Amino acid sequence: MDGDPDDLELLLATTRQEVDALRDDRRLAPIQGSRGAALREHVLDLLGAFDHRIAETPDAGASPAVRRAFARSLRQSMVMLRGAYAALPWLAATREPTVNLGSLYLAEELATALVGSDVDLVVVPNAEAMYSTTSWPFSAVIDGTAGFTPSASRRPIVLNYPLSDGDRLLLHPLFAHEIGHASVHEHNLVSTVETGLDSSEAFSDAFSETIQAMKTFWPAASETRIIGTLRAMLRAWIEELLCDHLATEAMGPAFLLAFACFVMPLSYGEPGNQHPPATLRVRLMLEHLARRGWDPYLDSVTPGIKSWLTNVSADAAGAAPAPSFAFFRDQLADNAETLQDTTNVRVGSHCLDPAASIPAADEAAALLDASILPVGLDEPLHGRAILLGGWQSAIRRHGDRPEGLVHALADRRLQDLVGKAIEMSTVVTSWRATA
Amino acid sequence: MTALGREELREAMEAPSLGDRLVIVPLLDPAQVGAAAVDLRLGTEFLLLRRTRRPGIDPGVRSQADLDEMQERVVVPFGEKLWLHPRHFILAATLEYLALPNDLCANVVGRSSWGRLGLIVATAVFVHPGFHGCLTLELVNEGDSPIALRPGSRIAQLSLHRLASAAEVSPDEGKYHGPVRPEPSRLPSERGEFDRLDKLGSELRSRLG
Repeated sequence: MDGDPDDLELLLATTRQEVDALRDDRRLAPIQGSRGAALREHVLDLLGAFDHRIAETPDAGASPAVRRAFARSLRQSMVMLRGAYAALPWLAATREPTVNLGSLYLAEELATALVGSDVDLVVVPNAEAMYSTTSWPFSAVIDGTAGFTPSASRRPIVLNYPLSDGDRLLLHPLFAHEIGHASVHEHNLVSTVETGLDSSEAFSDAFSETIQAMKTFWPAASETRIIGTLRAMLRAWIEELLCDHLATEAMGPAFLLAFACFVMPLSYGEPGNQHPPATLRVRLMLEHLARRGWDPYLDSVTPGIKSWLTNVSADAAGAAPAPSFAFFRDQLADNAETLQDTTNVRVGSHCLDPAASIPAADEAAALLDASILPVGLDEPLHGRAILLGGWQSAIRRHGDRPEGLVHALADRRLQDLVGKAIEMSTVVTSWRATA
Repeated sequence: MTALGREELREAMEAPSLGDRLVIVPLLDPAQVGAAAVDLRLGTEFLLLRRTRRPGIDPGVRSQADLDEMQERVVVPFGEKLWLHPRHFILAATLEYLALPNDLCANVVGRSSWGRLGLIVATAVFVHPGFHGCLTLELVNEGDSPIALRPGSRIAQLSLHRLASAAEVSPDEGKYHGPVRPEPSRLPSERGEFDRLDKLGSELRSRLG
């Protein structure tokens, strides 16, 4: 139990020490330009929130219950204060980019397209082998500090990529999925979809049937618990699928190919509490691409890989290990167009339009085939079209089959050209804007 | 060999076939194409020599990995600067990516405006027909004041020459094919020749018994 006066003293001294140590760190110094500035403000808000809490310490005359409650709250927040050290290398990365500039510019463009212009993006490698995103990493303490007003207004997003993948440009369409999480949260997209589902009679009936089935499958759980669990999983699956669809809107077939390359070796048809099975995800992506008019492109550029993925997606209809998984799969597949349309509205004019992008991807691929930087001979090509052209050239070189995807990832020279071309395309476009 | 003037440069850059075309991308400003040369800009990536406790660089003994380890890659985005201090040596790359057709070769020299500040821009100087890639530039500050290097600065000049007949170049010829960033020395790949030179020395030393 918290509440011993000395215990509170220890907590206060520790908090002061950690706050001072963080404030003194040179990596928290003011940043030139906007990159990382909102993240820095967010960290300073966290320190400000702790200052505020220290100032609100109940005095010695306060009741033991009040002092105990204060100590408990401070102790619970201490983990986040320690966790703030993780932000220091993130801030350092805004001064010296850890990823090539082409990928950095691509990620920043995706953040603008998917979330909005009012964001701050930091791209950093992570020792864990997965891609992930964190937004407002310290908001729990900041928002939970009554009477404290934070100064950060732009959403700070930290995008992590695996250490192994810094130069694997062909995988960087996965950035779009990760940044999609920030978009989903910023624009409450899960609620939009969930509200739409709840208004459907067919969905409500299926939900009721699943609750009954789960009572048999999970007899120890109360109905309230079953409903809560189903709702949480449904929201998690909707979020993952929305991120897939946002990435498909933004990156076109390049996302599907990167997904197949990175995710398919790690998972297949196994559903999880947080993630739908890869088979279902592939099925919905293929349907989405077809609906947006990408089928002729896929049939022409990569019929072999498309055929393989179509076979993979057929397995999405297989037996599910629990009634809940079958319910999510069937409902989300039946309502796939709602998911697609939600993301289409969000991405709007920033989507990768096949009519404009295919000629640009063709030009980029032809230049890559000739070992020429695919920045565009007359006009700068769009960075996302360059990446698609990169996949196109890679498949031509390394084979239109699953194994070819792996060989493509090992093609360092091609990916160097793609990364540099995206960097230069951004430079040329910005240069013209300065005229 | 004939040096190419402005009109010939433009013609070479607009050749209908990609294989015959002189490609210099991106050209931020058309005025980079001058009367008899093309201005080249500084790129965003650099290689700095690390301080080392090793005795020195002997390319006949060192492996490529050893040599690479002695150099640190640094990325300097547009809008930022890299300060080159007196007597410091770095490798940079051109912002532009070049693709020379098989009937053109080129020479690269530093711009005199930089040279008058003490900056020496040396390169392999001669660019072979069929070369594809960003050029690696060797930069040394021979002056007494540190010099600020900004990516995008016009730092060197490329003069192009037409060969009497096109050279025969295989698509993957050369040790430095298609680089997009400064390339470290590849001398360790000539280890066989260094070994032979050592052997030759031994032979000559032992001739008299």
